Amino acid sequence: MTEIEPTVFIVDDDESVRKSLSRLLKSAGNKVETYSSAIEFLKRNPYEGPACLLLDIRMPELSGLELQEALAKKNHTISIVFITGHGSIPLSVQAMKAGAVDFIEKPFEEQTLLDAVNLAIKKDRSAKQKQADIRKIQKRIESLTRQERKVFTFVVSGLLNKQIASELGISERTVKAHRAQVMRKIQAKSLADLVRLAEKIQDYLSQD
Amino acid sequence: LLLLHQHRLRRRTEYQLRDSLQFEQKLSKLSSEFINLSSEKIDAKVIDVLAWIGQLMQADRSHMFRFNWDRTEFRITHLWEAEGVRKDNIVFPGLVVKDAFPWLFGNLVNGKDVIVSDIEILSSEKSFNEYQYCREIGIQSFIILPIQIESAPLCAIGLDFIHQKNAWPREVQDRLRIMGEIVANTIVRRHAEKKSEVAKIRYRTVADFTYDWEYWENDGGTFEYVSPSCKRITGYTIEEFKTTPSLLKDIILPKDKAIWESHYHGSGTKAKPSDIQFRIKRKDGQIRWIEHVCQPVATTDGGRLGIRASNRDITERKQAEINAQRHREELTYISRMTTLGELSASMAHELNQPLTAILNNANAALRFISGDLKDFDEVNEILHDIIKDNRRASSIIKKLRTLMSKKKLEFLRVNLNEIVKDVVRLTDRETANRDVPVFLDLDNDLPHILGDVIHLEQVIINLILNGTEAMATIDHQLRELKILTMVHDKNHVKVSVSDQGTGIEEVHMISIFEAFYTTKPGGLGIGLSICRSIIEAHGGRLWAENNPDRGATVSFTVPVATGESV
Repeated sequence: MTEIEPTVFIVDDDESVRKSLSRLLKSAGNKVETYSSAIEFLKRNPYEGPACLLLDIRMPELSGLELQEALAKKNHTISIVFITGHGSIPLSVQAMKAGAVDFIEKPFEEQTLLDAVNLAIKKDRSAKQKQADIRKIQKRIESLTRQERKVFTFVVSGLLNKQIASELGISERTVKAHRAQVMRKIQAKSLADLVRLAEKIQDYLSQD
Repeated sequence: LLLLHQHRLRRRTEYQLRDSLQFEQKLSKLSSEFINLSSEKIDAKVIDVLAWIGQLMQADRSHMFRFNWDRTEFRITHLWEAEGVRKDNIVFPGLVVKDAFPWLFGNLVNGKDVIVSDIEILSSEKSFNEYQYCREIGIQSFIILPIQIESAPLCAIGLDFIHQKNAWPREVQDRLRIMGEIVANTIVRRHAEKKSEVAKIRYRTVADFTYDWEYWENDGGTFEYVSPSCKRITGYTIEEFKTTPSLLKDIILPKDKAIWESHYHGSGTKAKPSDIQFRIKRKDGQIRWIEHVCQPVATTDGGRLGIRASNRDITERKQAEINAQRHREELTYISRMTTLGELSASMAHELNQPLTAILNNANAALRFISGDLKDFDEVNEILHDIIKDNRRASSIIKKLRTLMSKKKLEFLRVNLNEIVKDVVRLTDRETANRDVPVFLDLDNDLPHILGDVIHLEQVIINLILNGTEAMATIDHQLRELKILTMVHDKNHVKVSVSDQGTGIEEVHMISIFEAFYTTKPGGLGIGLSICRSIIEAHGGRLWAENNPDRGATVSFTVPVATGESV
């Protein structure tokens, strides 16, 4: 399976800084997109592939922190690396608490930037992977019939076929057939596999 | 008897002839004597004349009167009395007022001679005062002739008889009148001389005792007059100034000579008084500040008689001014440093931007020339950008250095919009930090002004920071700082900074402009007072007012640069 190319999104109102960041990252082999304001970036659709948002913490109109908040509200997952100026530690702390991957203080060494960006992409990739996985499992779960879903729930809670049959008031044979169907639809190779997948989407289930 | 009578008659005629001759001689002698008489000897001479005429007429008393200009009173100015006449008989040796002798006054003032051969003729009601008086002091007969000389107070000459009556023949009247005229003329002349002498002394006193150093310079460059104060102020004497007319110019400090040279001393008569200030070196080497005011001396017929000048030693005042100015400059500087301190985060950020860009670009360039990339076009572009950002950084440092420099006011043609924009950029981080959006409403057709950029920036920075601070406790949604530039009137442009803060309490409205007055904890209290003095130094005004809805607006005006009208 080929991955969508990782991209670094730069949002900075200062043209010089934006341009230089873009160059440096490109020279290091990154795909880059630049935006001169937070509002402009918000207009863009969420990026599917692994991404890093390199964000100036202070900008006129919508600041970096406000953009972070707006993205969170939209459920738009993206790893953020904040670029901060001198003496904005309190803001950086706030940014980290809100889930930023890192912050780098201007002016910064090349390696610091590249490391931060790489780490962010890595985290973004795994976060997105996790999201994709969950979505995949969710889809499989959604393909189950009502009865199958019930059987699935009982199975992962550790109930035996006999107990399930009694709970649902059906024959043990029917439970077995449902169970085989669940294993096929969820694409679990074993019971352990099924339980692991179930844990992955536990949150989803509890919300359900 | 007839013979005797004839003899008497002849003798009388002879006597009269001799007498007449004697009188004529005396008259011409007196006239010439009076002309050459010095004023201080006149009084004695007048009394001599009165004595002579009294004796000649065989009178007991002779006197001169002078009326006041209103003719409501007269005064005996000179008096002669024959031997044996008791002086204490005279009850009014001095002033005689109109009300005391209305009849006498009435006659004299109307130019009528008063000839009383026998006081009994005065016994009627209208002259009863005079009658009683004469009886009281024993006057039997008298004559008083009014003498009016042009442009002089009314005078009179008179004779009294105590022991006998007298018919006052025509001849006596004529002689008396002539004598009276001579004497009155003399007195009047003396009076005028005395008046001019008094005036001379008065003017001399006014000039000589003036605290300032006064002089009157002829058009030839010599001094008509130099007041003695020149010694106190310069250490040089009047004589030194008079013998060396260039002395004044010589002692002016070389630095200030141009001020003196450019000072208008033209040849007209209508020149307005002008004043200049310069320093001189006293004879003892001390330096003094002089304020020099002068104007041409114009005669009534439009001519010109040189220049009248007044020099005042203003060293102390000047020193105080210089001290105050220095003090003000120090305060302005301290205030600016304080402001810069508040802006340090913004400044660091400003500087970090190009530095960050340069570092990134240089690193990128290294990658572009090494390895497989070898993109020299890109490197070329990068190097240009590095140069650009380097310049940007230097200009920020330059700006910072200028802001930190301790220069005096330097007025240049500037556009306030540009200054506002620069300052907003400078305070950008500060306002963002405090979550205050800044809105600009700038008049694009704003005329240029003459101003000192740094000082005006200092004012606007202060106003922005004040406004921002005023909103610290206000709900974030409501915070807003608006900066407006506009044409105020024909000759002024206006800058207003409005906040949506807590406003200014009425009790602070006046005091916020006083030095060392502050409502902020940790504030120095010099910001607004410095702002106001900077704006006033620009010839403008700075004031504060509360907005009708919320917050306050601080505005200032500055005059439009000359040669540019709205």
